[in-house]
Amino acid sequence: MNSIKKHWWKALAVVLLLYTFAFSFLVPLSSTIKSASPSSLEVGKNAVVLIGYNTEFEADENISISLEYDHKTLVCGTEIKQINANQISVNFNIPDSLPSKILHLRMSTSNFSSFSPELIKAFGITENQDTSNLCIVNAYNSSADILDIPNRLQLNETIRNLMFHVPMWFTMMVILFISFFYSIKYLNTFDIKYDIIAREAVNIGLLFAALGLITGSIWAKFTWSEHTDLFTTKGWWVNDVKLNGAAITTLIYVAYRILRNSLQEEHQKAKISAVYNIFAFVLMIVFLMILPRITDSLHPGNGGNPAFGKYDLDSTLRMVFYPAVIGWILLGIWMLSLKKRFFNLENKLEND
Amino acid sequence: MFVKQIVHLLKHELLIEMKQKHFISSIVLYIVSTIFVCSLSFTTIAETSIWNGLFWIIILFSLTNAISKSFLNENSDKQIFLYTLINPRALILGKIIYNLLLSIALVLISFFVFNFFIQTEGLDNMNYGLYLIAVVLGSTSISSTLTMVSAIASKTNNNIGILSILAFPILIPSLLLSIQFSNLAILGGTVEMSAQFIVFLSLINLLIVILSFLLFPYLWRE
Repeated sequence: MNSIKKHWWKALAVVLLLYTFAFSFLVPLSSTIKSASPSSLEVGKNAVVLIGYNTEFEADENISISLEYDHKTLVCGTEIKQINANQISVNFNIPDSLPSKILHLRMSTSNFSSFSPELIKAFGITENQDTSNLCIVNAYNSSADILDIPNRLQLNETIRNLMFHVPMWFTMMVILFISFFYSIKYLNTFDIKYDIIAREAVNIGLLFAALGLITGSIWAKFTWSEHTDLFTTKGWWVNDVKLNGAAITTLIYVAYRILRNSLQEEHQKAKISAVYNIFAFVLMIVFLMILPRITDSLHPGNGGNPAFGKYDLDSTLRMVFYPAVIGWILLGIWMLSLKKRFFNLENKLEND
Repeated sequence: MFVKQIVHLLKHELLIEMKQKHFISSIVLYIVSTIFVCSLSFTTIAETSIWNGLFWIIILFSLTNAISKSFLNENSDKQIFLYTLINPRALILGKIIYNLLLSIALVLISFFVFNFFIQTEGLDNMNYGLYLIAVVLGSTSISSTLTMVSAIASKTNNNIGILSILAFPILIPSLLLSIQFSNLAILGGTVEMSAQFIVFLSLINLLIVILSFLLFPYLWRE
């Protein structure tokens, strides 16, 4: 009974991480339209082929496709013809005046309904702010609530990385805060066991920083470098505020390790590295808070990019993102407690 | 008493500087020769932002060189003598103020030498008053960080190498702020436009001084 009271959070960490892995690798992405060819239409009749992802168009009778802007249906698709499971051809009759040149595509079938913002552009029209529904579309009720992960235009399958990349940084910050806290505690008591915790927390924090850098680098390579018009970099690293912050953090704590290694006497080592840890951590937090405010970032929540919660993180992702964050943080703390026990035993053996 | 100790320390530092003129002249020579090497490789820099960035990099390295000696040239006998006489907090504040004055002097010298050797177009709109504020605020945060970190680094054997790896990651953000701020001054910005830079840099400087003030006594007598 006592051990359950003491160790329940480790079981919780295991359960949450298993749930995270299962959810993020097994749940399919939602069906949606990924591209249209041609994507720029002209006034009059246009035949467009829509290419979907995870869709099953074949033998589906109840398909309706429409173009809309500002919640008003403008053009209804006619002569819908299935080509294969992922392709469908449709005709759009574009009138000569529309409220916007950039249009959103809405589609509903018997299996799913999808909304692809800014997929279609209409050229040669005059922009006219008349906002009434131009046609009525009979939307089919897509059957039941299927559990799926949102399918965004740029992100595609990489959206699964959200459950790994973002929690790494959260965990790193929590672990580094623990290190900072125990450094203060060491300077108040000069008890070497607090220094062991501070030191091992930095090591684990660096591990999570490395994992965050690797997952982030892979993510950046497959999203930012291929699709953004604003950004022309093709590499694994882009010049972004958050990336610079991550690099600074990693450099500071590598420097902390080097400082420790260049000192010999145990208490001197503990004292001086605690001073540097506190000095560097406070300044790092201030910089991480200030820097994104003065420059733009590609990350959500900065420089005009929508933050989490606006529409990046819908309720399905929330269902697994928060458990993932808690699971990874608990795992980090678990690792730290193992390290602490190991080095305390080692200390004991040396002193005996 | 506390202020008296700081004033005394400042006088003491100045006296040592006057006695060992070779130190300050070696730093000035370092700055001049670095800028001369740059001028040989560039002569004219078309873009003002590159010109400005180069200037800040030269400042960073020359200040690192100048301040790295602030805790090094005190041998252990003299340290014991100082420890018995004065408050550690007075010592660190004295060192920070002295290094600040030294670095402002060095930065002004390097600004004139840099302007003399390396030309750039597009300085017509430059707001010299604002640029001076940027340089003073930026070099304040560089010199105060370096003072505290050199106190840490002086405990190790490899002083200058450890100083740069410990200090540069902490310095990158305030250096970035200073570079952006001075770029704005070159483009002819006003004080109102750069209010957030002034506020952020002053806050960072204040924070560095407070942290040094709180933490330095723990480096004491090590």
